[in-house]
Amino acid sequence: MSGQSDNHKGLLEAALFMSAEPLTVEGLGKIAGVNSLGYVKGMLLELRDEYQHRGIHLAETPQGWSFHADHAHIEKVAGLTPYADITEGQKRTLAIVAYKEPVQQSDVIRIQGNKSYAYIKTLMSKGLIRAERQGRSKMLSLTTEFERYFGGEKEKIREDLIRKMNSKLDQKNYEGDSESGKLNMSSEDNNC
Amino acid sequence: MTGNNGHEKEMEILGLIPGESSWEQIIYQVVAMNELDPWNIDITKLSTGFSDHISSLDELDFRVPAKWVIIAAVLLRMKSDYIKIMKMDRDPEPEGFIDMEELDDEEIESIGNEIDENDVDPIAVSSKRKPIRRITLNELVDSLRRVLATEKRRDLKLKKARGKIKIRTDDIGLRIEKLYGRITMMINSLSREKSVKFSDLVEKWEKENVIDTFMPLIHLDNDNKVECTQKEMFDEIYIKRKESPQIKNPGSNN
Repeated sequence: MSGQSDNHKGLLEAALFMSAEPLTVEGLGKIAGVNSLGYVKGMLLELRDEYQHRGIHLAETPQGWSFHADHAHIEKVAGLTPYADITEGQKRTLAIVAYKEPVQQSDVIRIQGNKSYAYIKTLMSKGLIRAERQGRSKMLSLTTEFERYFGGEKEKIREDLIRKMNSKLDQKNYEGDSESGKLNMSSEDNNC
Repeated sequence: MTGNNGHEKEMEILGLIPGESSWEQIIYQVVAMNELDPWNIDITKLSTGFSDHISSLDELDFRVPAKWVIIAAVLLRMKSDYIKIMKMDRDPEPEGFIDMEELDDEEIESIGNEIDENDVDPIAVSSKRKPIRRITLNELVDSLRRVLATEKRRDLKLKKARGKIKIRTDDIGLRIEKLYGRITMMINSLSREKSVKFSDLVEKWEKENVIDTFMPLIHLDNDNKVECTQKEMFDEIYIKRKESPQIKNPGSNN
């Protein structure tokens, strides 16, 4: 590898490290002063491979490339920074979709209010959920990007979500359901 | 930011503001632009350019200045976050330390003239990133718990409120007819007056009775069977019976 490409790769790495938001190949090309997007993409793929077995990984998302902590460590290190890439409101919308998927947009609005329109839009731009028109409303569901984000298949993530939720219900004696207080995976329960 | 390239980039940002892009998208684009540090943008220059742009518009869309204010505020915040302020150790006071609070205006001005800008440390940009992380599954669980708890609280509140509302089951048609009959009878019994007061129709002036009488009355008014007049808000309502064209005597002059 030539010294120049090493220099470019180091610059891209520094840019990705400094940026709080994902950076696109085009944006990174501009930063590096490189016109060839293929060359930039190639260097990004090399960087991604180099970070494959590290505590942080380089990943491509619908919004661009960014570093993120390994899924195995995220729970332990999450408390070190208060800044998350998803706001509390967006998190609640994502939680509703994750739990009730597929869910009508109108049901999310009914549960969370009109602000959810903006949250849904942002989550869609992050590629975590998708919307398909169904009659007068839209049907919201999870995407493969959601699976990449949480590091697993969505069915498994949903199972974990409900299991953790029920375990918290046990701890706090929380009544989330008029019958048992616990959530289940049945389709009836999913309907709002 | 200096040079023509910087000016062009600032003009490029200016061009984005009135467009469809959200303020977040514009900030991202600012960050992605080559040689354009968001914490090194001349906000004053950008504001002047934006004011000129606003003046040149025929129609003012208030969303545009609102978007501008957010962008300027975010850029200012970004600049502030990245600037390392010099730490001044006041205890013990360094040699030659001058407490400005003890000086008058003339003395402050004379000191200001003596300060050599080379003596002031340059403002540095921090090389440490603001760490933004992904959310965890536990956080998603907490959010779901809050959503379900809020939903449950709302349902309970709604159920309680519904329990308090007494829904009448009697026929509104009958109540309308009954009230119309009373109005007719009262008007017929009057020798000169051709209108009745609403307060005379209400048997006992209590909230429920007032509503029970008012509800069929607005139906009668809507059906053009009576005409209600009220000179001032919350003043007395005068009710006149409207003669139906079908039952009018064709030979009558009235």
